Amino acid sequence: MNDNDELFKLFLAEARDHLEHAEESLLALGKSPDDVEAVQACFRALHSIKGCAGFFDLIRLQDLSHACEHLLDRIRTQELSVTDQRIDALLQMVSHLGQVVEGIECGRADQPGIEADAAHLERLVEVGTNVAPAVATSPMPAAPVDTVITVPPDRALLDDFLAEARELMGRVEELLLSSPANPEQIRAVMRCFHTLKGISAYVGFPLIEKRAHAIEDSLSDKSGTITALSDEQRRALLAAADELRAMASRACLGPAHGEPGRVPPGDSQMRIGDLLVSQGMTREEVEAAAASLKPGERLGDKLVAEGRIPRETVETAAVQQALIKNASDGFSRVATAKLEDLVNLVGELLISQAMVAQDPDLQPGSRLQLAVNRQSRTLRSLQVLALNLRMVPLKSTFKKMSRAVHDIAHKLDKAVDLKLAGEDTEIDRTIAESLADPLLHMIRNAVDHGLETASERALAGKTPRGTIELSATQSGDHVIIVMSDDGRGMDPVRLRRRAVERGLIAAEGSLSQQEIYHLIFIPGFSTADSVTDISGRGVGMDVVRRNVQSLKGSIDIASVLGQGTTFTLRLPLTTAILDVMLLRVGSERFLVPIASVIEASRLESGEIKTILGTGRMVESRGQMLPVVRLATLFDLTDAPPGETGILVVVEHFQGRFALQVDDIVGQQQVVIKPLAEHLPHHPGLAGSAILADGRVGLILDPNRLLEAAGNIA
Amino acid sequence: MNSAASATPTAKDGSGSGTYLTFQVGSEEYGVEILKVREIIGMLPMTPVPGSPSAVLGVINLRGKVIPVLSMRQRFGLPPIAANPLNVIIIVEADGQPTGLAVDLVREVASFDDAHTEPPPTYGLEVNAGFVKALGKSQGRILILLDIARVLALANIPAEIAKGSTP
Repeated sequence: MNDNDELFKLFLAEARDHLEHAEESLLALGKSPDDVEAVQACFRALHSIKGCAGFFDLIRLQDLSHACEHLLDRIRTQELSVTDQRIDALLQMVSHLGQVVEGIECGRADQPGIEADAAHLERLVEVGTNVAPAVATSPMPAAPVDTVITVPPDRALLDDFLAEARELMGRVEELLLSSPANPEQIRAVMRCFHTLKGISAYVGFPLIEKRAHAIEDSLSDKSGTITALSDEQRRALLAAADELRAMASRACLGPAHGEPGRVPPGDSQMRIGDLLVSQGMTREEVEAAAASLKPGERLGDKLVAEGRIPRETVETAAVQQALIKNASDGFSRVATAKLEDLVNLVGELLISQAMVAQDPDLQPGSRLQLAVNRQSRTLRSLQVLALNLRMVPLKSTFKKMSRAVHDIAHKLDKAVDLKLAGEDTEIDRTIAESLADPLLHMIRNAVDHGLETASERALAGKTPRGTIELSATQSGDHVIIVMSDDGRGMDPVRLRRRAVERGLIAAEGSLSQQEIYHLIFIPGFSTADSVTDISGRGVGMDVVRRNVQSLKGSIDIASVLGQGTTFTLRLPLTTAILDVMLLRVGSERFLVPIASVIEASRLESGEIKTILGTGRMVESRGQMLPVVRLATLFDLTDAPPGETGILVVVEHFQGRFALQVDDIVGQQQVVIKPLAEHLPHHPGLAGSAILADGRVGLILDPNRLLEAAGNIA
Repeated sequence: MNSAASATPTAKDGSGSGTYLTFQVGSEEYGVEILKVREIIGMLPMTPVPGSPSAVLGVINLRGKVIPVLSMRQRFGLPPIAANPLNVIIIVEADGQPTGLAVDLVREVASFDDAHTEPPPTYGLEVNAGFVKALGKSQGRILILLDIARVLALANIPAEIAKGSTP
């Protein structure tokens, strides 16, 4: 049974989200200490983690989050004020919690670095000692999970709960309706109710929890699970499953306690009155109050003013009202595999549609053709939409950077403002993920080495606070990420001298400004001397270049001595689509990324020179390039022999070479697909793509094409 | 379809009993566990993959997914024959990876209980005995029931090193 596994995974994902929110609110709180909502949000996030952790018996996580929650509660009730130390201690604890969650996720039991817990807890106690040090070290009594939750569980959690509950009850139905019940099936049914009980407790629906528990009980006797079901029992269980499903739906709409919420669906106003009724007022009371409402006056306010209900009740109801409104534009989690299937099928649809559109029987101007044209337009929009599903906003990547700036600046005792722009720019999920690392290195370097200390800045006539700007914009099929600081800038003369000293470049060689700046990407370039201004710039910068290159992006540097440095990253919008040139060799076609094609020309007889009788070379723009005959490399026998065809000059890491092929078929955009992973193949093949005729084409990797040939130029 | 029962017994590990899709390659009849079979499709245009094992005919486009196809003739060391309309590809799935098996023709779905299976003989088979899970007996015929994971162990098939490495 993997229901619990599923639930556990969900919990881990949720926990990560909550921690992210907590961090975000703490950072916001750091900026404006009066931000009550930030305290609340952070409290909510940690409270949720504590609740879930309790449900899964993760005592440690529970204790740690409880300690945070406790401190926040005292801030919330204004027993303690917001100070930098407190925020810092909380931030550290939150990132510690992040590590604990990660540890659990990687299956390292629940145990890594337990010593660190104590230190973090101590720190929290320390910063909280205004009044009695109420935060003891673990073990700490956990707050009961389903005491009245002043803050309703968030919408995503409810959505997940509801989906899960429906699935479980569906499974019960399926089990009961299948063949005659055997003991294993009855146990499975029982497990479903058991799981439902667990998740209801977790989100705080005690009525559902009790009902599920009662059913679970009825399925077992002294010796364990009962082994047979009468028809009557079966009917009763089916009815119970229906009932629980309905209860779950109602509970998710209505107040957070499984009371059948009287929620008229589709009513956008979603009467606050209805919610108040479910909170204990009588309908008559509410209706009377509503009838005497003046225009512009709000029912909730009026009732509070009249002293009929406490303000909290109205606030709770208002939150629920907002939740119901939001429910319609919520998000759903979808497995990546399903998205890929969708993209695949849309691609297939386009191919079969093209076959219809190109059919000779299709009369130009006919009704049928108009319909086909219309169909193809819709299909293209569908394809764009399907590919867009892979895109995520850069917000969460950028958020990590705010955190990094905060931490590093704090450590170095520098005052730094990070200005973010364009966080909503969307980029392929895989690119967003691999972007975090390089950005982090760049940010670290900027704070550590790019920005001067406050006193240096004062001397230079700058504001004491340094500024780093991080922005993202979309430009065509690329995303441009710009990171600039107003620090000391880079000195090309010094960079150059350092490189010569370290023997990386020849003393007399001429380098462009850009080439000199790029010296910082050479691993270990400047780590030797850590006292100078440029020293640290080499740390991690080769990681940056490597990652950006592997994403098929590029990086530019601009710097003005004394005024700052700007890095410009240019990344493709998606890794899923590639512009390729179609090459034909014999009856086969191969695709080469346009980005690596330099030029192409018809092969003239006598153009190819042999070196030492074997190596074939050709002269291109004054450079001798090795010639690789693709048919020979891939052992394709149906290509015409000899010195005919086309030479395509391609570029790879270390230089250029010429590919000899029969013909260039054209250029197109393709959706990249992995070449069956478990299939051994030539290292020079990077993947595959479905071509316009529905056949598979293989994508060449110029960087590795020559590996097997042992002929790297 | 002869003995395919409605409640399909699954092939258990160790013994060969279970339900199989049977197909013919050359003069012999083979079986793959029905639970490993995803679908049966007609021959599709094949794209050969340079540097892949010789038993791999190439890759096909199966509704947008790129899937490798193995020639069972090659895998069992039989010479290729001219294509005919009965040739099909059986899409099987092992370790979550779909792979096509190109066979001469498919025959039926048959169930074998313990009484109708025997452990593989240790010698005397035309095919590599490592592929064979058991021998199945059905109406006087002998079927070779395959251990599909071993048949698919492409990593164990020596890859043909790309020839002509001097351009």
